[in-house]
Amino acid sequence: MNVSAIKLEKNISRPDILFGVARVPGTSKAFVGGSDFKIHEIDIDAAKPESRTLQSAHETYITTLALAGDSIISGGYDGKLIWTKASSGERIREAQAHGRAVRKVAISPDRATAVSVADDMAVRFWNVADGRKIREITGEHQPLTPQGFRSMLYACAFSADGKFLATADKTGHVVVWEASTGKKAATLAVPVMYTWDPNARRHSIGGPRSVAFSPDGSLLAIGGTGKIGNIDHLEADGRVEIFRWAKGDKGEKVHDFITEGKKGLVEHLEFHPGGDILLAAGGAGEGFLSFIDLKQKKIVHQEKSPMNIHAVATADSMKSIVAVGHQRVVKFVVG
Amino acid sequence: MNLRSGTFRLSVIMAALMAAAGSLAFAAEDLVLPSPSLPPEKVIDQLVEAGWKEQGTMPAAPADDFNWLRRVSLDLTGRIPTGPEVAAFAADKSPGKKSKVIESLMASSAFVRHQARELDWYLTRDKNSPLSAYLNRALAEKRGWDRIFKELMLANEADASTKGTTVYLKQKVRDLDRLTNDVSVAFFGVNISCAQCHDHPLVSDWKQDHFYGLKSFFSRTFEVGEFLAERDYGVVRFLPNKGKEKQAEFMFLTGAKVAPPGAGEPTKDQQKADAKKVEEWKKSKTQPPAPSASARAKLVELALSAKEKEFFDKALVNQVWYRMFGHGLVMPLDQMHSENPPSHPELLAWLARDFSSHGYDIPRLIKGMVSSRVYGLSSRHEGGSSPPANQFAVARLKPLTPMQMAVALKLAGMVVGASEVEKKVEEAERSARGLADQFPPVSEDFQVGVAEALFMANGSRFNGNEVFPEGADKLLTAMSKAPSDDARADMAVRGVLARPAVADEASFIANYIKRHPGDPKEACRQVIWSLMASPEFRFNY
Amino acid sequence: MSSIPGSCTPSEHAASRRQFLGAAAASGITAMVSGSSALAGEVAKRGKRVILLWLAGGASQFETFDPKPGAVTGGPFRSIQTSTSGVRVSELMPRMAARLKDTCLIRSLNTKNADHGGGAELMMRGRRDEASVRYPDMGSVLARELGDSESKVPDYVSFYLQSEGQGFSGTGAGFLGARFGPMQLHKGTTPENLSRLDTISASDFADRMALRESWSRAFEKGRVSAALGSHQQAFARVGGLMESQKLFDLSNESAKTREAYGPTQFGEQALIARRLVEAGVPFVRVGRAWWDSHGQNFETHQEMVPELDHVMATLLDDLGQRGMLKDTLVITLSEFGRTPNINASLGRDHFASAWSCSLSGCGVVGGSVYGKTDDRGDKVAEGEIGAARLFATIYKALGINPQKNYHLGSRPVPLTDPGTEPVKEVLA
Repeated sequence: MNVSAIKLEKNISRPDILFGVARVPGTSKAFVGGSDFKIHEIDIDAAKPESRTLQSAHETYITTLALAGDSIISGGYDGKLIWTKASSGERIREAQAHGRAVRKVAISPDRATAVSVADDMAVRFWNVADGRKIREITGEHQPLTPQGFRSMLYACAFSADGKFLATADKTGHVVVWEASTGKKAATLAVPVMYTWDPNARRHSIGGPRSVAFSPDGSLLAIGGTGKIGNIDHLEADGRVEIFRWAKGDKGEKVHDFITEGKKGLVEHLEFHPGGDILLAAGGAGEGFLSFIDLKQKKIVHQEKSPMNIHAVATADSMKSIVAVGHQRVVKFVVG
Repeated sequence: MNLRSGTFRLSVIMAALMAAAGSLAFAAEDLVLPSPSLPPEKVIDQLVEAGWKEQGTMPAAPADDFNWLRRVSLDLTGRIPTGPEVAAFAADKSPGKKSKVIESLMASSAFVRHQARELDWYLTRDKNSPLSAYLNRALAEKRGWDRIFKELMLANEADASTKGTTVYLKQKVRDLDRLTNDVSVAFFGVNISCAQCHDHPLVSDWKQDHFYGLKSFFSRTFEVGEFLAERDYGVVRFLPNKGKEKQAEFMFLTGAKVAPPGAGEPTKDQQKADAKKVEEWKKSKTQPPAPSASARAKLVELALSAKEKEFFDKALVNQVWYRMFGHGLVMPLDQMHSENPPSHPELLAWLARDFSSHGYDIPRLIKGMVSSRVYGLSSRHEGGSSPPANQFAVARLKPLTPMQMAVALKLAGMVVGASEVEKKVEEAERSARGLADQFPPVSEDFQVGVAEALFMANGSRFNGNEVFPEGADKLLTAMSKAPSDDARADMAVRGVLARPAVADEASFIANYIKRHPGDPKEACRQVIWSLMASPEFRFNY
Repeated sequence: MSSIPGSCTPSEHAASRRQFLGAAAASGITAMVSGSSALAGEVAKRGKRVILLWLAGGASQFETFDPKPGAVTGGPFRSIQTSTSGVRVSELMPRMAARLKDTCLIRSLNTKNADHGGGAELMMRGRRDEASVRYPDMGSVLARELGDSESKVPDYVSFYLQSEGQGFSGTGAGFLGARFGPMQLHKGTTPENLSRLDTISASDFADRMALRESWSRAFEKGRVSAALGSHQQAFARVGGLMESQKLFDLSNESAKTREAYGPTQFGEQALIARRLVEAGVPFVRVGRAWWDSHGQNFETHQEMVPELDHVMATLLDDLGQRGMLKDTLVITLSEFGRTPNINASLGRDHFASAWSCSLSGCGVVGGSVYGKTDDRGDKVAEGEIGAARLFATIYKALGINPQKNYHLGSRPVPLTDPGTEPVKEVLA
């Protein structure tokens, strides 16, 4: 894949800030959700893409969207998960899944299980088909930061074989779980991504926002931002740390990548199915897509996005990249 | 501007000014002034004493020699006298000994440094003394106050002799209202900011036209990066509290006006071209050229012209008088207008005339004041109620400025030989800056805060080597080695308060040291501390 | 002191936007302060205290007291019902929501200055400094109005331990002079120079002070001067202030109380503030910096607002339980609020046109809201007030006449700008 042959194919302006995107396989349809509490369907490739608003709505911002078969599962700051039928837009069910904001929903490769993480610091497993709670993990990600402030549980992702799940909280505490048992398999730490400023401003910024397993499951990539001086701004470059992890081990960090000249948070991480290319997308005031070549051990291409990116959905082995974020939906094509 | 309406407005203003004209000055022309050839100190004594007679005031007794020497040293050179100076002055029985001391203090380099520091604070209110280099040079060369005014207004950095002047205008140029008022207060003794929003109801001197008239002279001044620049066009418009927006004229406080300097208002294209130039200067970091006609230069010319210079002549006289006597001839200092007459109109008028006719010689002005008998009165008034401040019948307490305080603390800890006074004083000044920052600046309403008392009582900085150094030439060491407690007492009082100990004090101190036998040096330190924390030390009394 | 004919009267400047600078002091050198005291006011203000929770950097009104859920400007947090019917606050403040009974929310500040330094000066002083007048801040005014010259405790204590914004946080005694300035705590929660140095024994310390006192007494004979009096008074207060050091020591508080305030620095300072006002300190500012969330506004507020909610509610509970709330006014205030617009970095920027503060306890109508912003929070829709009226309201709540004059030379300077009316609806 020639990642430097990337071009912006669609640039769609929106009134809202979008935090979630899911694409319907084999079509040009995508579902997006964010600051207007609603799910919208867009035909990205249409000459004049118009959006259709589904009936399902959260009480506040939607933070994440995932598609499992015909079910859209959305999570929001209201702590809810809502199941919506993708084909009809009809609301299937709703669950008060968490006590605080849901930050991420991940779907298992077999599409049978959804996992949600939220600021109540709980990891919950749900049966996609009937919405039944299968399992929950609490007590591992601490509700308070070491400085006594409320923590946040930002990211989760399944391994390609569905055997493992990774979760990452604000303080940089990252855990790999056995998906089938909920047992802890490994613990990793990315302290640099969390900046606590004890003197100048006395609060924090940052935290890992994205995790992804390599296709063979041996590597775990964690995305966030670097150490920040003035925490009024996301002023550090984006950061990706890659660990070779093994069961019962602390893991060995094999790479640090910094998106030089591209400031902000890495909010989306995704390995190319071939395993050599890792996409890191995110931003602050502006957005970026960075392509990391793991063989060359460097960032081989960085593409500026028209807006700060909060979520990405790819198709066709990453040849088609749809990103959503600050008042825009964009589509890039690679190669 | 429509010519006809302009003429109309002008006539209205003229009418208003003519009505007010009689009160613009302090009716100086009606005053009978003593002869211009008299020495200033004689005139001061004559006119102030006349006031006492008129009011039936009993003045305080003259200050004793030690008190006078400390006062004049602090006022002229910003420091307390050293041991040898105190001893020499006490030993000198000649009638002209005070003049000799005044001459010698004024000839010392500390005189220039102290006066420059005081003027710097007066002009900038910045404790970092941003005008220091310039003012030291100007005073060392005995430049007149008129020249200093002109140089600060013209701010020519290119000329070596006026280098360092720009900071005065630059400090204020972002707020032209403030700049206008600050210049008016410092050089003309009037705070006209009241007239920013309305014609003054009672003081006919102050109209909105006056405020905006004076502002006009500064309105063309602006910053270009690190440089100051002036356009050769630009007028001020303002909204009077009654009527429609109007254009201010280039008018001085007295109502005197000049035509707008320069070639008139520019076209839009000219303005665009000028804006481009400004960008280029900014980029290339070059000093923009002087305007074809400087409005600020016009102001200087006007303010110093024979007919209009009364404000300028009087403002610094009153300020220096305030500094020497602790109370102005006009109070508040920035209210030198017709409705607020001076306590001694003839004296102010005479001194202003003398100041102007002697080339605005600041040292002459100061010397006249400190040479007077009035200056030499005691600050203690026994019996009856104390006369009001504006009779100058008793000396006022003047709190030491932060630098005076810090330098005094340094010198008080030091034993200085007669030959090394200048050197030691300079050293003390140099090392005093940090300590000076621990004390608040002085203002007329000055009150000692508890932070200062706590700093002196418990601050490790105050109670350590900086204030209580040890060594062969240090008070603490010398005192602890002295042969007797009486000798220690005398040494402490002389060192800190610049006078010999009186009987009670000596026995108090000797007893204190006796009662603390464990560590004599520590007892000495405590005695020195108690004197430094006394009001006698804190004030120029 | 004689007065100058021709000085301005305060009311003349009431209508002028450009504030009055009149017959005043030359850049601070001739400020002679003399207060005119109205006897009735002196009684009403007796025993009144103030704790100012100063949210430096600018806390967001949307994420605290004036939520707009559902508006495009509203952000992700929902609002929750408070103990006052029909009044909702951000869901980040559940404890305050449940105990709004002592608090009046003011949602209609339009203070026009969205610069940190200028805004802090304005919101600490109630007005802008003039070319020739440095105004005292609220703490200095209240130190003077509520303090006792013989007091053994400080009159004005200000905590501000974070370094950001410390240098321009709006404090200063202005023309009132150092006597009424704050005891600043910048480095730790124990003030400087309050404890006796190890190098001197307690008895020597006392002896040394007594010796100083004897010099002072001798010097005072035949001399009259306000400055001289202040020197004597400053040293006379040293012993009492050193005693007050124990007020800053939380080991004197029960574990239960300390736990209630929580483990954070802000909580500890609020508890010290309560101890100080209990001991008679009239004004304590607890500075909590730094709220300047240009990026990640929601994460920042999700972190910091719960702390504010917890500390403020605990403080009000504690004051209430001790019967102190009727005489103690707790002010929660920033230098400005934050923009309705959410920027691309999910931040909110500086905004002074429509924002909120709160007054709790002494002299205010609890469980109430004054003023209203429009649906998006862009503008004040009802009850717009600026800094001047807020200050007049605060002074009035404490039993102080906001139009009381100090005198700068001959010029009368009222505590708040001429003609400023307190907000009646806020006052109990």
